[in-house]
Amino acid sequence: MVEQQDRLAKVDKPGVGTVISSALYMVTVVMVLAYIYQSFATHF
Amino acid sequence: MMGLTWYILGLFTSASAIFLWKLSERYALNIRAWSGLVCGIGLILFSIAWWVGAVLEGVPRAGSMGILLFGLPGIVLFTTTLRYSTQRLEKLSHPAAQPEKSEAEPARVTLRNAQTRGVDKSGYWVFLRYGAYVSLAVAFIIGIVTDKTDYESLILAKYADLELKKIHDDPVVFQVGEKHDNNGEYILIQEGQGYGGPFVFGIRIKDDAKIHEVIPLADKETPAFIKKIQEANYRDQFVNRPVSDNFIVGVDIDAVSGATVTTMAAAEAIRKAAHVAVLDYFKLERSWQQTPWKIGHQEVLILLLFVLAFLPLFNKPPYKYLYMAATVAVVGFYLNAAISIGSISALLMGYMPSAREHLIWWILVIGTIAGIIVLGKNVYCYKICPFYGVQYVVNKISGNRLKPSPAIIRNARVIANFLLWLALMLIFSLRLPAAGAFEPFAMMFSLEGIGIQWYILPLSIIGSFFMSLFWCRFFCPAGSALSIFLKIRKKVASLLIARRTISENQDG
Repeated sequence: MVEQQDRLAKVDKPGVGTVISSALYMVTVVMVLAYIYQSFATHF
Repeated sequence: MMGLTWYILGLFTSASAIFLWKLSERYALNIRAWSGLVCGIGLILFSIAWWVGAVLEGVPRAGSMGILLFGLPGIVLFTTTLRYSTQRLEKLSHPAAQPEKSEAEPARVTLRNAQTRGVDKSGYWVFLRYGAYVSLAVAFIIGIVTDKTDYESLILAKYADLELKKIHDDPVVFQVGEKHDNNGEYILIQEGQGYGGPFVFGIRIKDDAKIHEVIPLADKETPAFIKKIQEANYRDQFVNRPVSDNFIVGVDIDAVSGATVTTMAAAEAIRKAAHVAVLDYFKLERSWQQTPWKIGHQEVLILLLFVLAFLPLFNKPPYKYLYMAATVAVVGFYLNAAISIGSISALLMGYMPSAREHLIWWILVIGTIAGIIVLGKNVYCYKICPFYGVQYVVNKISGNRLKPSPAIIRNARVIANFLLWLALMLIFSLRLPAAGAFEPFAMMFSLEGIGIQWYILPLSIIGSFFMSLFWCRFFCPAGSALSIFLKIRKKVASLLIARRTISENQDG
């Protein structure tokens, strides 16, 4: 039982790859939003 | 005043959204109810905005017509649908059982709930989708109504010291001072079509029938291209030239390298203005040549790549890699002609460059959309798109196959569509395709960019280093738009097939 919980905990913990890729994704989303906002602000 | 109106309209919109939300918790709203309510509210809000705008512009009659044409049908639609919803539709027995969401709750949880909860939430998605379509339509209309740059005032302000008399409306022509015989001094305003929309110029012609000044008045091109032609002092080429010259890029005008299309749009505007002056005001003979079809090795290469994209042979290595290299080299670095959301939205807004001079645009943009409509096949994404090739290679080099957190993957499509919606709202309301085109393609292949674009390009390349097809899967607005076209095409096709089957069965 304890072993199974340990294994589950390991599975649930995000790996470095997940962290890097998620961070990259989020930063890109923010940059795209910033670009759209910049366009918006320039024209109004 | 208009600002206050927008603010109040914003309040009304939020109140309507909350009202709809509460209603959907009490009644099992179906698609009919949702569309009726949303359209009704949309029409009412639109008529209010219309009325205030018209009154402010001093045309209250137009305001009243707006209320009559949009407001009244809106109220009728809204009340009848509301009555239908409250009387005919099933009342949900446990509205209180819906879990309360706090504002601090992360979005992903809300989205996950959305997919697992029943009637209400599917209604929520339908509401979002139709709300998006309705808001895009409203932005489109607002764009058309407000897109009236006053070029005449710009000219009048610039030449405040000259005695200008407007002598023609379409195209706008000003006469400077008095006219004598078949000459005189004129300022003409004309526009040429670039990839982003009209590029408007004023030209000043003096007694000697030569262009003395070229005045750019408005453009809708990608800012990087404008910067490029300005740096090349492209306007100098037109000054001191007789108005009866050809003014054709490649014939007597040099293209600015890397911004050929923009130079062509400028030349088109100046050519049209100059030739109007030749015929109508200087009464000279027509001595210029007609703009020839621009068919050279570039056009042939693009056509070849486009046709080859339909062949299944190029789906498998090694031909796949050959084809990919060709698209990166030709569509990317050589011609920089990748389709962006700018090209697609320009088409939707009716900005089409002439086929004679811009055959490449026609092959790629019209060809891709025709391929979707006729054959139900999107050959652009994962095939012709040069940025696909770049990402593929970068990812092959790294060998990485990282995956972002499951929550992101689950909601990636929604976020991509949201970004597409945001870009289109901006593009439609400003009638400016370049405003919302956040893709880094043009920048990647020309290394010209402005502001935040410089962050998006490296992020998308680094992203594809870690994740395969990072941009295509998670961001590309052009890709999202093409896949929406494809989806609509498939739906229409299946409807047609179903109808044919029914009629065949009836005949049989």
